Amino acid sequence: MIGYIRLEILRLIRNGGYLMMSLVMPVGLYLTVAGGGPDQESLARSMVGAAAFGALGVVITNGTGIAEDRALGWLRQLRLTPLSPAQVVVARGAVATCLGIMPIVVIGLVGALYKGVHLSAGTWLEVFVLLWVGIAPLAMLGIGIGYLFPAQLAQIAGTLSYLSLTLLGGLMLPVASLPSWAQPLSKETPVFRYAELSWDAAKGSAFSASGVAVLGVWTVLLAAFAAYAYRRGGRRA
Amino acid sequence: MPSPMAQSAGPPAVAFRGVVKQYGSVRAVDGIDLTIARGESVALLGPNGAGKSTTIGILLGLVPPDEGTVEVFGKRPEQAMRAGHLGAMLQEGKMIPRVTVRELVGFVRQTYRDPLPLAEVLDLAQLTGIAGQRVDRLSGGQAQRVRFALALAGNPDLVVLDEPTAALDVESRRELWAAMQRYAERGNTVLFSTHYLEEADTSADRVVVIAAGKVVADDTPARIKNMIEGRTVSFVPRGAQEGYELLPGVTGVQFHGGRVHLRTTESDRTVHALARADAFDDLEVSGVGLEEAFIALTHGARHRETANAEGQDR
Repeated sequence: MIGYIRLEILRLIRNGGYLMMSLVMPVGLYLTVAGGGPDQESLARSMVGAAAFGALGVVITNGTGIAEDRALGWLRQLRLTPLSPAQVVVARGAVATCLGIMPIVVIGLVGALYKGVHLSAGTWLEVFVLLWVGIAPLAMLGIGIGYLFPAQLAQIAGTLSYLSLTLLGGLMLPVASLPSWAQPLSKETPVFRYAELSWDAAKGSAFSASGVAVLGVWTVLLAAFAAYAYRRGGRRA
Repeated sequence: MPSPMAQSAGPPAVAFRGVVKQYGSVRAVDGIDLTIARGESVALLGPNGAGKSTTIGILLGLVPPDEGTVEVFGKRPEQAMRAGHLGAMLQEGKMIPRVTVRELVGFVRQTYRDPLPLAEVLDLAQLTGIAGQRVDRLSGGQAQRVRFALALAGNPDLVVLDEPTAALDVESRRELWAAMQRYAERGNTVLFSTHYLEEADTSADRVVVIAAGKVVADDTPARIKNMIEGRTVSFVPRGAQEGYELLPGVTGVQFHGGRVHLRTTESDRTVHALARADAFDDLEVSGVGLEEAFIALTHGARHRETANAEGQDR
């Protein structure tokens, strides 16, 4: 399984779309329109939002890549190896989570060195780990999309969920700038609750219990979605 | 050839019992019973659409059968795959982008417990020279050799190849079969499908002919070749038009277009006998196409309308 993870990491790193989603877009937006400030809380908030945006882009790209692989017969080829279907799904999740590090680190560096975000060493570490590990449920969303839809549809579904979750989750613009009907929805999205963990950590405030609960429920739901999509799509593989 | 002792050690490599797979109203696989002993090299021979690929899909656990059971080394196909007993090469499937030959073959072999050394796999499939190239930029023949390498890389007990030489030129074909034979000589079981009688003849020690989803013949390559490689002798008859089926070599008699068509396994002797009887005008001898030979073999396996239409064939 390690071998499979290594192979897929190589393939994703060599994918131009991955660089675009993980570096060019988040860094570009962070440096132009979504930098936040001038106070420290706003600066940290924007940095976390941009890093989460990048990580989300990576795991969605990883997922839609699965649909392309299926079209090529790659998933069928994998079924002709001793790897179990479950191992393949778990490995894909691990790949997404591993490569999600890149935007988090790069945005963090830009934030610290260029935008002047000041956090204690412990808080930096906490924010980094939360941004990294917390992306796992969204990685499962990407995988589910990749298995459920044919390649072109998966591309569309991926982009739509990427953009809508970014907006609803308040990653690039504060939730308060959303229309009033959408604001309560935001609190129920996995993306908002994912970023919220790091926002709270950066502020030094305690995690919201309801936030952790919502994220927990989403983790279970998205894992079930990925498993369902895998079983449907795997049969067509 | 495996010894009887080796064959009796443990469950057979493959055991199909009453396997049926239906797609809509078409029975792609229509009640196949087939046992393959360990160490055998078996060819699945049949025309396109005979059900070879579906049979292989069922064997590999990719296609669930509607009826019947399949066991591979005594296990369900999925379990046998997980245990590393199986390696396979399918017809479809394009190469994935952004990976080199070495990376891809290396990855697949590492998923098996006891794989062949990477250098040996690359060498066996003649990929050493292109090991650093991206697999999605290879020619059709090179990509085919990569698929072949993926099937062997794990050193599986049973290797299954679905029309492995499609898209290969003559030279590559010969090389692939040579590699295949070296692999079989190590005591591994090999099952491959083909619609070339010649490949079945030279590379298998048993030929299973499949048509319309059924096994219609199962014998040594020599006997199958004899059954299939007949000729047709046709002529305008003179005199009494009976007793043709008693002529030497004749296996079928047909009348149409004012001519008699005799299917024969020994055309020389048939023609000599006809000449002695001085019973014909305008004689022609032609080889039987594989399609026609299959029709002869599959006579009983075809559904009723077709059988009626060609009912005078024997």
